[in-house]
Amino acid sequence: MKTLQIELKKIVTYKVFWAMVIIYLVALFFVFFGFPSLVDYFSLKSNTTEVKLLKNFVYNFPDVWQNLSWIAGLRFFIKIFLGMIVIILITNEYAYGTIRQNIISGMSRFDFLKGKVFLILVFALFASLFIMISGFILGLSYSSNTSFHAITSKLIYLPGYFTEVFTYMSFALMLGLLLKRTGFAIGVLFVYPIIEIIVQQKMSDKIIPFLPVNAMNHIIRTPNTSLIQYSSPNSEIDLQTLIAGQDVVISLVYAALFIAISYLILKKRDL
Amino acid sequence: MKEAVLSISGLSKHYGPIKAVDDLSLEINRGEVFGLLGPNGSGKTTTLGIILDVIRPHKGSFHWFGQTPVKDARKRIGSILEVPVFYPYLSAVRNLRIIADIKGLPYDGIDDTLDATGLLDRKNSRFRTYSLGMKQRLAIAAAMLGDPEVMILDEPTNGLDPKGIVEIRELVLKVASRGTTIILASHILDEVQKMCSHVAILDAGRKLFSGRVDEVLNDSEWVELSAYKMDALKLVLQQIPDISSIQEEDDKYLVRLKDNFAPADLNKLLFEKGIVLSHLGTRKKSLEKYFLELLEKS
Repeated sequence: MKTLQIELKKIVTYKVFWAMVIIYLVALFFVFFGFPSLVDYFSLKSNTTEVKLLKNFVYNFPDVWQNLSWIAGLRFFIKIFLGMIVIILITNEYAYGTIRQNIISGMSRFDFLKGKVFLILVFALFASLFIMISGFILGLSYSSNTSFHAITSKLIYLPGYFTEVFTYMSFALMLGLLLKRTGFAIGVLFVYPIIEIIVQQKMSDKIIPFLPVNAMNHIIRTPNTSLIQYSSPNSEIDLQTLIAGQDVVISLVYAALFIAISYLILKKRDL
Repeated sequence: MKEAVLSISGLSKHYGPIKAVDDLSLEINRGEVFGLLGPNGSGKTTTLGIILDVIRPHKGSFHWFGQTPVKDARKRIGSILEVPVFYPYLSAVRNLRIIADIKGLPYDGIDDTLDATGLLDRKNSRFRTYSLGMKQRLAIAAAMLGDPEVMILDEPTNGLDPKGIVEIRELVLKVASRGTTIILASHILDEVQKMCSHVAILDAGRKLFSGRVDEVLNDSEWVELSAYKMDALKLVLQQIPDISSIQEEDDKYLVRLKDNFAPADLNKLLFEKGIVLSHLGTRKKSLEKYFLELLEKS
């Protein structure tokens, strides 16, 4: 806990950090809460029932948990902000030389990493909390079913999202420690998922789900609304209905791997 | 009683073909103000980096406080290494609190150290807004925090104006007078000569000399001699057992005399041997001269 306190003190008056947090939250807020107005706008133009019902289906309990966490977890979307925040906090320590000063002052390398991992856990917790609060507000506003069972039955998607985003930020942590330079690390954070998509064209289907970004995104791989069942009941689209324990385990194994690699980098390298 | 605070043995670190530290051994005892003196690139900062655990040596070992391994040894050492390093967007106080947290110190010493380094009225300004001299003083404040057993200062007067240099020297000497062991790396001879009790001279990662500063100076009382018959003088000098070393310089010989053998004794002896001196003088060698001489020899 001491290490986490130190990490929090490092960012308390860091404007860039808070600016990025606000951008992240505002962006997510607009996507979550702006969508209903967008639907209303389009439903004026087209008179199809599907469009009119869209917001009620998307925000229906319990699907709202899956849908919001799916959007928040999209690999080329708002989540990248969280990765960038993590990278900046790591590469800053190199740019300012403060990582060296931390160690010289008596912090162990292990404690340094521990502080950053705790910080990531806190970020993941707050990101999940934001989805939870949004989910409650939107669900209670638009869902036709507000029974206790409906509200709680897919809440498991929140810890699912937590795991996913924690793994993602562990990946960013490793990139920051490995590459040291902010721009370079953020570049790789952007480009790597694209590379994964290109590379997997030539891979067997058995391996593809095990690639790191695929693996973490596989926890919540599709949205799900009863709208699809409503509009095309015989659809063969493979929609996820539950979180698979196997996906969570693979994601956590990756998180552990990223953190272990980070530790090895820290331990071996001159600072 | 000598009590080793730091002992280094056979330390080596190379960057490619360049040997930054080359088989370095040192012992620093409690209460010493130990100067690491050497030109830029002689391995001072690398050595400090190794003993502070931020640089991995290729060979050799070091022990803090006589035991190995000492858990949390670095928490008992206040250090600055190279340039002052802090979170630029945090105030001086917030930066020092982080260091206090790392070292497990209470916050109540922070104002005192800021006062001692003349930064108290700017304590809530962000580090980014500090001048170079203020940054340097904040680094020293950080090193002083919690009254550590050992202070490591790497070029502490870098970037300071003459007034600042004097202030910092006085501050360091005051800390030293309380019994704090100080390790000071510097390329400025004058600084080492004025502040240190002991010195190790480094060049290209190797130790050329180490010992007491006053010994370097005392030992270096040299006698200058010249005569009309220089060759004869040399022959005679070589036979005198009370002379410990002879060097030739321009048209003079420089000799070092053993204890209890004064220049007057030498003059008398030479005269008895038929040598008439045309010049006899003594000169105290400065550390600077000694330093340059060592560098030339290596």
